[in-house]
Amino acid sequence: MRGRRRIDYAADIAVIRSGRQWITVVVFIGLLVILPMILNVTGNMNWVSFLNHTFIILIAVLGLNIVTGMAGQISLGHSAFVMLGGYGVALLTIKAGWSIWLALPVSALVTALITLVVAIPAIRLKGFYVAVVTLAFFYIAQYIIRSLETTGGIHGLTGIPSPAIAGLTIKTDFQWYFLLLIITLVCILVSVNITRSRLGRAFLTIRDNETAAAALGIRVPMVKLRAFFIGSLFAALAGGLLASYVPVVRTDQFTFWDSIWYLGMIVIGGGGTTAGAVMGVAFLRLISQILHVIGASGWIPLSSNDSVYITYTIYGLTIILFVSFQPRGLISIWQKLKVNYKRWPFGV
Amino acid sequence: MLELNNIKAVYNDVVLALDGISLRLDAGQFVILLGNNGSGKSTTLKSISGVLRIEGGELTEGTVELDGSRIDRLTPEVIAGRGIRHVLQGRSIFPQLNTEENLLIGAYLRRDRKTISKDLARVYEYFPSLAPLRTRKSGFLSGGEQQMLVIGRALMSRPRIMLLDEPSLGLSPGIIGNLFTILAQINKEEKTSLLVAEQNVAAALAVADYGYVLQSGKIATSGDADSLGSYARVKQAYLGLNEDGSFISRHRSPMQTADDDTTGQNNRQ
Repeated sequence: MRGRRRIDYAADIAVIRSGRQWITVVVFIGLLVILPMILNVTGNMNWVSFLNHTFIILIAVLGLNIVTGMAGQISLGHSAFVMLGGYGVALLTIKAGWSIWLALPVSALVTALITLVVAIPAIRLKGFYVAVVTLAFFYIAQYIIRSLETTGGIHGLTGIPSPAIAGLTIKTDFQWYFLLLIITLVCILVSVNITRSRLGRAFLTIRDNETAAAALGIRVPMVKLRAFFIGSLFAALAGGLLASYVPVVRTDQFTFWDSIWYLGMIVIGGGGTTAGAVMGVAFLRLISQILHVIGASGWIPLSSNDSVYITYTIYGLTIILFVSFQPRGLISIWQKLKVNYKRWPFGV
Repeated sequence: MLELNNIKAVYNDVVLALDGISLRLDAGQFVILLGNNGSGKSTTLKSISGVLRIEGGELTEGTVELDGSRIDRLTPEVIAGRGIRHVLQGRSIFPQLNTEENLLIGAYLRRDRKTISKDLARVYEYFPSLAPLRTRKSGFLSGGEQQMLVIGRALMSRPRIMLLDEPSLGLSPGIIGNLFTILAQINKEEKTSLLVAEQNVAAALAVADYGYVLQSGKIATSGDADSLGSYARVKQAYLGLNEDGSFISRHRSPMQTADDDTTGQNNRQ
């Protein structure tokens, strides 16, 4: 290994540790900025819309990554938190006439407070029982929102306003892309910083060994509560952005399967790291889009129904293959490549 | 400083693990708990640190007092906050965190960054072999290194009392001697009181001040380290030797003496 000397912990855990990493980050962001312009020239707005949805999903998954990946609490109700965030923004903007910039944070905060209601029974439980409680919450939340008149019942709410920056209303997919890119990058930075913090380390300890964490003076229930709180802040932000982007909220936009895909993305990416979550989202979204394109192209004679089922099947197979052959996810493949590159030609 | 008064501990409402243990640990003392498997050493430590309740046990009788106030009804994190640090059996590292992060999590209850980094340097002084492994994931450390890591992690909280559960478990004889030398050093320099459950009688007695021998959840005997070392009942209770040095017959529990009941119903295995 090439000599790298770091002497203090702050340098060890800095978000960007070397000049080369700076270059990588700048190039990566540069590519993301150019990407929609290329797609725009080729006239493929379809892909920009796909990327926008991917950003929104990524924000939600970053939240789940904190709850499940870092703190180890399996949540099957994450899509309910996204839904609450979306409905919150819809209600605040349509019914109360608030600006979306105010509605987004308020809705996220209210959703996170509601999450604490689920979290209080869940933090007393372990493993699968947490999953069951969050699953129950998902269906209860769906039922309540579908039955209420203020939330528009099964028809949901439409006409959520678009955000505006300095007089410019974000309308087209192309404009949305840059807004979502910025918000996503900020969320990634926040998520990375949580990992590096005292609280982030506490999350990992309760995932790895609750007894030892308690013996170290960590208030396990409180730490779990905070994980749920922060996780649902991310989820609700994603939901609010989705509501404004689409711009419709209906309960069938937020399904139980979404929760499952979020979990699948974390598993495939490699739980507990922000980079893993990003990779997992990118990977699974790309697969689904490729299948979608193939399905729509008519190369294979399939009805649209068939192609949906085939997408699910391939999704499922991907997760099974990852769990059996690469349980540490995409992130570990990346890390191995990196180590082998540094040690070249003495790699494993 | 720390006092256990006739405590009885039960797991899952049925298994009686401690049947009236009384012991005390004074400031700066190095005390060891000896005893067979299942004699209640770990349970004694868990009743002090409060971990007992997490594992489905509870104290049915007796009190645990720290400086005269009862701590037996407190949760583990509150007890940890009072300066008691329990090093659990079997190296409870957090494998996904690296060495230094494991140490830092030990200082979770402290906010003073300056003294934390000073203590970090101190831990590396006690355990120099950890220093080059700072950024390695602790899951990849060897058994001995992991054991040093959990002791170092406990030190990071500047505990008044450290409870160690079989620190020598699975270590090679050479490392065990070294480990106890370091423990004695910590005891002297940091003024940390130590209560150590241990199977390695010789290594533990060589450095401890005082010892208790546990048998079936009761204290069979106790005394200062020197007298305990030569005490015939330790051999009998612990090493399975008769007073003349010959082995006790296999068919009898090593703990069973002539005046014990012959039905053996009081013997937990």
